[in-house]
Amino acid sequence: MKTHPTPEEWMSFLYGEDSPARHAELGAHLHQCAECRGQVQTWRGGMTALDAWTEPQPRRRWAPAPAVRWAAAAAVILGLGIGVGRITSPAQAEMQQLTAALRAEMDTKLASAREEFDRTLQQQQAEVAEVVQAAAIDAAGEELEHLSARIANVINQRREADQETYLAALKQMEERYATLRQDLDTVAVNADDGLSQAREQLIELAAIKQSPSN
Amino acid sequence: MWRVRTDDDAEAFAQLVGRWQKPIQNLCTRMIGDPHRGEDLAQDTFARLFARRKNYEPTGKFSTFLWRMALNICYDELRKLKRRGEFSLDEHDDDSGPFDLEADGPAPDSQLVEDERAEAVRRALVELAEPYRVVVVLRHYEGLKFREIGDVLDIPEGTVKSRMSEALSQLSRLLNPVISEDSDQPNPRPRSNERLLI
Repeated sequence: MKTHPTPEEWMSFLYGEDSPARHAELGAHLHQCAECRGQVQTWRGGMTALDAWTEPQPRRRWAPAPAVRWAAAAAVILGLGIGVGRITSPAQAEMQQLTAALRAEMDTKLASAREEFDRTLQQQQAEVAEVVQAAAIDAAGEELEHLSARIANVINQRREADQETYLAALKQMEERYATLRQDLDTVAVNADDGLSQAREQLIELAAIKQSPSN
Repeated sequence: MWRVRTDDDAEAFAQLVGRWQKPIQNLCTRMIGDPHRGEDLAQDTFARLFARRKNYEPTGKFSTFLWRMALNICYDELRKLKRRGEFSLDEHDDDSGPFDLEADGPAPDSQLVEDERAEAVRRALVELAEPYRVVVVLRHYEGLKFREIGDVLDIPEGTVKSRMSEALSQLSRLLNPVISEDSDQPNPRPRSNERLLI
């Protein structure tokens, strides 16, 4: 083998992923080539070293031994004892006075802060009420406009309906008037004919009365 | 996985976890360098696997899907640790050593030597850049073929081998003292690269 195998080929060789024939070739080359032998030896060294880290297991969480636990319990009890002793000691009176003074000061500050808070709250409530009222008025105005428009619409509709009814009645009256007038004309014509006929009869009667005297 | 995906079969999922918990935990531990975090991350992986079971396409290999998911969780964790500046080499130098001491194990002095070597390897792995570390962990410890690693990482097989050779060179330099000690040992421990059958 004239050329050196590539590192990729050596990786297949080292991890047994090459074909038996290729493995044999590389093995032969390794036997002859000191340079490759040195390189492969380096890689093998890394591989061997990696085996030092065997399957990792999680370590046990730290658990105190029984003696340690008893010691911790004793320390807690001791601490409690010291605390009780300090509370009942004469120096405690001075501490209580200081505590009472601090408490009074804190109460005063708290009362002042509460008053300030109440004032601010009332002011904010008034502002909110104003805003709400203005909004309500705006809303009522809008509602009123809406209602007015609806009423006008209803009135218009009613007016149109009334107008139609009135026109229909007028038309009917006109028709009746025309019929009546026609009837009247007929009566008048008839009456006129009657009068003409009566006058002619009167004229004839007058003529008859005059003829015997002649 | 198909039963888990289609039927939400809890029993099948439990079997799946039982089969894969250890390899995934080992992967996470070696990627992060912390057995406890590895354990937590493995649990996160299975939680995410169940949550995203509908995303699994049966056309691909389940193992590839799972390795990739676990690695993504590891990368997220590494990013978080680096952002918080918590990813350090001195994370496990507590009194109990890196691992549990087995009652029926080797004598305390030899156990101590083994623990020191293991800690040196852990540190060396953590020092490797992530692209090299992941190849070493998947090939050397989890026993995946170079081609399978290429599938998981979505890179060519040649690139995987190239990174492996570079990683081994770096590890050889970093672990030179451990290697020197090992060369003095008459019977070095055999490698544990069991193949994971899918």
